[in-house]
Amino acid sequence: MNDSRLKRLGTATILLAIVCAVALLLDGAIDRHLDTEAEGLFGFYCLYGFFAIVVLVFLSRILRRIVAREEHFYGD
Amino acid sequence: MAIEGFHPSFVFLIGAVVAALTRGKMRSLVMVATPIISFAFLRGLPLGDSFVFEIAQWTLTFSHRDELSWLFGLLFHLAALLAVIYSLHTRNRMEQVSALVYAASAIGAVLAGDLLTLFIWWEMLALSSTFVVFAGRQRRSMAIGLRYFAFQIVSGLCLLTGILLYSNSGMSLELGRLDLTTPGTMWILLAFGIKAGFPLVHTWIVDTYPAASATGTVFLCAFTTKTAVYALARCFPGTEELIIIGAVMTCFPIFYAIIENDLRKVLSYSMINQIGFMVVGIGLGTELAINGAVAHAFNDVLFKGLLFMSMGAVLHVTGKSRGTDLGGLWKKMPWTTGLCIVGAASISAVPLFSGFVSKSMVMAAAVEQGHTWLWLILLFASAGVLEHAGIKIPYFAFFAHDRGLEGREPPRNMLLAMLLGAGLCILIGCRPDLLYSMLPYNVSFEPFTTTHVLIQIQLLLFASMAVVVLMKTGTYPPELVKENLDVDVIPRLGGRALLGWLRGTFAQVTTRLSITVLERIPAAIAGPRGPGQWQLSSNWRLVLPGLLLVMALLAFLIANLYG
Repeated sequence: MNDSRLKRLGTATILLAIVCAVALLLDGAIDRHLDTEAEGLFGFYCLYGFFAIVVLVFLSRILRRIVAREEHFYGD
Repeated sequence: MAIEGFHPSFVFLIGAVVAALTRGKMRSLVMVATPIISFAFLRGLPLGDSFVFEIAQWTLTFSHRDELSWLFGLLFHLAALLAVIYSLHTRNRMEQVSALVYAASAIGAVLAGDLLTLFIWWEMLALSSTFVVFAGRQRRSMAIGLRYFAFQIVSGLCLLTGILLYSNSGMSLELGRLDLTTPGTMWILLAFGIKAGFPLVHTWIVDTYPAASATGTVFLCAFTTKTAVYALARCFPGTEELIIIGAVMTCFPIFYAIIENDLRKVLSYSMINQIGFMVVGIGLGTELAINGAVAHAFNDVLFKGLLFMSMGAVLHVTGKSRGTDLGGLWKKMPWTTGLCIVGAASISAVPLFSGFVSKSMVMAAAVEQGHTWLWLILLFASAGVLEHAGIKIPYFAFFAHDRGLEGREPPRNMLLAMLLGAGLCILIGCRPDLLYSMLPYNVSFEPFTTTHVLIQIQLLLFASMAVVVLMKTGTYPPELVKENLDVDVIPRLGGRALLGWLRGTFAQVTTRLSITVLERIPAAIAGPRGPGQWQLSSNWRLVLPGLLLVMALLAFLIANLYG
């Protein structure tokens, strides 16, 4: 049961990775309309999307250290 | 169908009175019929000003119909109808009646043709929505409702101050574009800002929405903040300060949304983030940007309503809304899961869902005006939305760890409301021209260009990949039962300290003062042959010095004013 669930989760991740790869390759195949210089970089949106989340998660972990208190902090 | 001669808000007010007097199926019928009948009257409103009343030197214009007010009027009718259907199973008279008054106030505010009429509905909005919060009937509802009311009252007072200063500088009170250099307009902006959830005054949103009932939150999330967005779009388009405020609003809530455990609180932070996009659009002020902001407000009411409805359905069925308590419900609630995913896809701006067709307008407007830094911030915020509202909400509620919760689909009326909301999200996502044709400006915008679609898919796919990688490596912050402090920690702890001081040191001093001044000194003057020592009750000992002080101050003021 656990193994099959893990496998299924694995398959989903692999599928996502394949779709990501295709989307990245399309960047080279399709001539995009550019509005800003940054967009001209190969895979700009892919990199930006990925690292936005990484930065977001790391900063959130720091935020949690600063603001997280026990559940009934306000006594209600 | 269009009927002339009656103001839509008054249909809602009559509906509220009738709903208060009826019960059971009759009340349900009245609740559903009210927004439908009112909509017929909305359609019947003439273009321009109507329902104009002269009272003393003031002119009150209760209806000013143009593209902007019509669109928000339509939106509020839709939202009211969906929320009413969603709450048909409840028998909470207080919530249902105050919700109708609340909808009446929001519709009245967007139809108002002058600042004074706006103020009247603004205050009604505050009062009626507070009763929706009270009707939550939780242990904390009263305290939270009062905190909520305090914010709304301050907003009303700011608006009144602004209107008085503005009027004193000889300006007409007709509702239109305001210039921040005119006296009073800063107060008006602050009033709108409090209701729109500007940074530092945003905490009422995350404090209240998760605390109202499952049905009450659906009403709350539709009206107050969007009325403020309407007011900003009406009065402050092109105000550059709003670009910075909006950009901050898009970013800071997404950090909180990641670490927040209560999924309805996650949605509340998400709401501030979405309003940020609208505020940016209003600040940019071009026709495309304003259209984008207004279209996004329209879509947000639908998809955020859908997400709040799906979380409300989970709360209704399981009694829980925290990520640490939920999970694995998709087998027991497949319809709710599917509909929640439609809402999640819409808010994440997945192509063919509603968020995509409006958010891309604001982004395009930012690029068009050469605001590259702003565009990068909005892009960052878009990735963040996908993470917390697109993935976190459905994942932690319906998938993740199976907690073995008892579950079933919610009542049919709840499902129907969600189904209608989801249908509209997909309809607008696939046929954006239906929404575009109603926007205030006639601007052609094509959302489905190859470039737009490709870059959005790339952004979303790689952001999703990042979430998967971070979860698999254990880097993603786990759900924890914690209270995350926001800026309201200062007034809340400050208020508590003040209360403690009043009950402690202050109470001791006033009691001593009472005993000395009001008991011992008269006793000493009367001497041993006096009528005998008299004593005040402990409450009077506490209160009397305060009362005397207030009376002395009043006397001083009056003496100065008339002396």
